[in-house]
Amino acid sequence: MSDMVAENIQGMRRRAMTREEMESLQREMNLRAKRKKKIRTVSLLGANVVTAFIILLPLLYAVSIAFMPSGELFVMDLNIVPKHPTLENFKLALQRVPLVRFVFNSFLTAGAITLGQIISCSLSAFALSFLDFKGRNVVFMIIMATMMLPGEATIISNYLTISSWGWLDSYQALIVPYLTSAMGIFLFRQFYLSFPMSLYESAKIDGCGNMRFLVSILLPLTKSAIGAMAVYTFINAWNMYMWPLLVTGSNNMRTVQIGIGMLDSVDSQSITLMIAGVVMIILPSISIFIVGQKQLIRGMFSGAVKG
Amino acid sequence: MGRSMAQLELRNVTKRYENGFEAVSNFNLDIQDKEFIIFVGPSGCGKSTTLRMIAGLEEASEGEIWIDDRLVNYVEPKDRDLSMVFQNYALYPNMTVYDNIAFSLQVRRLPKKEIDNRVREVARILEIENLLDRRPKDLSGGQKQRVAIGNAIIRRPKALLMDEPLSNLDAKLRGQMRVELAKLHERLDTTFIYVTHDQTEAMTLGTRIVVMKDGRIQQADTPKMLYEHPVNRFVAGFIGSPAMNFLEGVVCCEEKKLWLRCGARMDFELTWCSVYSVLTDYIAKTVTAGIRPEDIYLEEEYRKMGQEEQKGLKAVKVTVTARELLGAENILYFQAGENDLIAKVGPECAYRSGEEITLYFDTKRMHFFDAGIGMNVERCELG
Ligand SMILES: Nc1ncnc2c1ncn2[C@@H]1O[C@H](COP(=O)(O)OP(=O)(O)OP(=O)(O)O)[C@@H](O)[C@H]1O
Ligand SMILES: [Mg+2]
Repeated sequence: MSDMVAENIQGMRRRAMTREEMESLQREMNLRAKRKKKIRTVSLLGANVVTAFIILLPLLYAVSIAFMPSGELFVMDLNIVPKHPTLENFKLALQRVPLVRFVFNSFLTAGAITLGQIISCSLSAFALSFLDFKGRNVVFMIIMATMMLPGEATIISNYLTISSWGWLDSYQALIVPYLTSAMGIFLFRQFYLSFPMSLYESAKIDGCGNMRFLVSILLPLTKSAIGAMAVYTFINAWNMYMWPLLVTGSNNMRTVQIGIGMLDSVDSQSITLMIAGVVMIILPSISIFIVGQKQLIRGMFSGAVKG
Repeated sequence: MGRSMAQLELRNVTKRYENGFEAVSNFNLDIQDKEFIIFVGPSGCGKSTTLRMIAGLEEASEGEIWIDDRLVNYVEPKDRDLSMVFQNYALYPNMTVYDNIAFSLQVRRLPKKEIDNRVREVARILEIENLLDRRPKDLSGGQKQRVAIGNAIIRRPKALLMDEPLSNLDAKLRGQMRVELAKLHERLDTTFIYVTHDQTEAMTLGTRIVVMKDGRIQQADTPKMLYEHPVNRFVAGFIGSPAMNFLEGVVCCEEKKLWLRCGARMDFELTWCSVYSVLTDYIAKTVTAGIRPEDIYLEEEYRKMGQEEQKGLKAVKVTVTARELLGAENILYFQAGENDLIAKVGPECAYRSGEEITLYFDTKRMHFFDAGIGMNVERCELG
C-alpha cells in the first residue's frame, strides 16, 4: 500500500519535472531555429544584394556618368560618383536631337508592332491548331522555315520593296514589315495545342463561331502567353536599329536608338551626353519590363510546367 | 419542356479517316423519339466516331444521316439542334458555372431574362443552384459532370449525345450519376445517345443497346434480348459480367436423344434446350456452347430446387481453382476437363482452391453458336 503511494508521488514528480524541462527545451529549440532562419535570411539577402550590385554596376555607372560634367570623366583617378553633379548633359542631349519626338516614334512603332503581332499570330495559330484543312502541316513548316533566315539576309530586298512602294521615311515602313512573326505564331500554337480539342468542339456545338471562340474563350485563357509575347515583342521592337536606320531619313521618323547614334556622331567628346540620352530612353523599356515581368516569366514557363 | 419530335436515322454510314482506316462500316440504325440508345463495344470499335458523325464533328465518308426527315450530312453542328456531353466535361475554365450553362443561349442572343429563367430551372433539376457563381476548377468531378449536362440540356436539344460521360468518376459516384441520368431521361423526354464501354451502364440505362465491334453493328436490341438471345459469340461474351463460359463440343445422337460431348466426363443431354429442333441439324458437327456463370449452381442450391426446376440441370465434377467473395455473391473459378470456367454462386459457398466438387449446369439456358462463324444457331434457323 505505502509502496504504491510512494511510487505514485515519485511518478508525479518525475512527470512535473519533465513537463518543465520540456517547455524550456522547446523554447530553446524554437529560439535556435529562429536564429538559424534569421541568419539564413540575412546571408541570402546579403548575397543577393552583392550580386545585384555587381550586375547593375555598369548601369549604375552609366547613370552616374550621365550626371557628370564631361571634363570629369576623363581624369586618371577613380571617380564613380560625380563630384559636381549636373543636369547639363540631359539638357544638351534634348537640345541637340529631338529626343522626345524619337521616344514618341519608338513608342508608336513598338506599340503598333506588338498589337499587330498579337492579333496576327493568335489568328494564324488558331487556324493552325484548331481548324482542319489540307496542307495545314505544310503551311506550318513553311512558317517555321522562315525563322531560319537571318533578318540581315532579307533586309536589302525588303528595303527595295518598301522604297518601290514609296514608303521610305514613313511609319508604315517601320511597322508593316514586322506585323507578324513566325516565333509568335509558334509560341501561340504551342499554347493552343495544350488546349483540349473538346473545348472547341463543345463550343462549336453550342453554336459559337470561330471568332467568338477566339475572343471569349481562347484569349482570356491565354492571357499569360499574350503578356509574355507582348513584352518580348515590345522590347524587340523598341531595340530595333538596323531597319529604322535604313528606312528613315528625317528627324520626324527616327526612333530613339538612332537618336542615340546621332548623339555619338557629332563629336567624340560627347560620351556623357550620349549616356544621358541612353539613360533617358532606357526608362521606358525598364518600366515596361517591371510592369510585365510577372507575365513574362509565367508565360515563358507555363508551356513547360503543366499547371 | 415543349419540343419537336426527334427521329434519327443512319443509313449505310461509313467513316474512313484520312489515313484510309475504316473506323465505321455500313452503319444502319433507326432511333425513335425518346429512346435511350447506348453504343457499347471494346475500345477502338468506332463508338465515338459514330457519335461524332451524328453530332457533325466528323464528316461521314459515305451514307446518309437524317434527323426528322432532314438530311444533315452537310449541316453545321450548331444547326443540327443536338448537344453533346464530353468525357472530359469540356467546361470553359474562364467562365462561371452560370455562364457555362448559359453559353449556348448567350451565343444565340436570347433575352437575358429568359436565359436566367432557364439557367435556374436547369440548375434546379441538376441540384447545382448553389454552385452557379463558382468556376469549373473549384468543382468536384461529379459537379463538373452536372454542369456539363446542364450546358447540354438548356437548349432543349432534339437529342443529347454523351461520350463516356461517367468514366472519369469513381465507382460510387458513377453509380449515383447513373441513377440520376435515368431519372433525367424520364423527366426530359429527350432522345439520349450514350457511348460507354461499361456494360452495367449499358444494361441499366439503355432502352436499346447497340453492340459494336470493328466498326460494325453486331446487334442492336433491348438489354433483355441481348442477354437472352445474343446473335453471336462476341455479343454473348461481351454482355454479362462475369463473361459467359464457352465450351467446344460435338452434337451427337444416342438413344434417340441429342447430346453435347465436351470431352471427358462432360456430356450434356440437350432434351430441354430451347433450340433443340435447330440442333438436330448440327449432328456430328462441332458447336460452341455458352453458359452464363449465373446458370451454374452449387449442389446445395440444386437440392433446394423443385422437381420442375431441376429438370435439365446436369451434374459435372469440377476442381475449384479460386474463389472471390463479392459480398452478396461468390465468383467460383474452376476447372472442368481442360476448360477453365467461372460460376456465380451464393455467398454461403466456402470451397477452397483444389477441392473437388459437383456443380450443376443448366442446359435449359445454354446458348449454342456455330463453331465456325460464331453465329447463334437460333439465328441460323431464321436466316
Ligand atoms: N483522326 C483519326 N485518324 C485515324 N484513325 C482514327 C482517328 N480517330 C480515331 N481513329 C481510329 O478509329 C477507330 C475508332 O475510334 P473511336 O474513337 O471511334 O473508338 P471508340 O469506340 O470510341 O473507342 P474508346 O472506347 O477507346 O473510346 C480507332 O481504331 C481509332 O484508332
Ligand atoms: Mg471513344
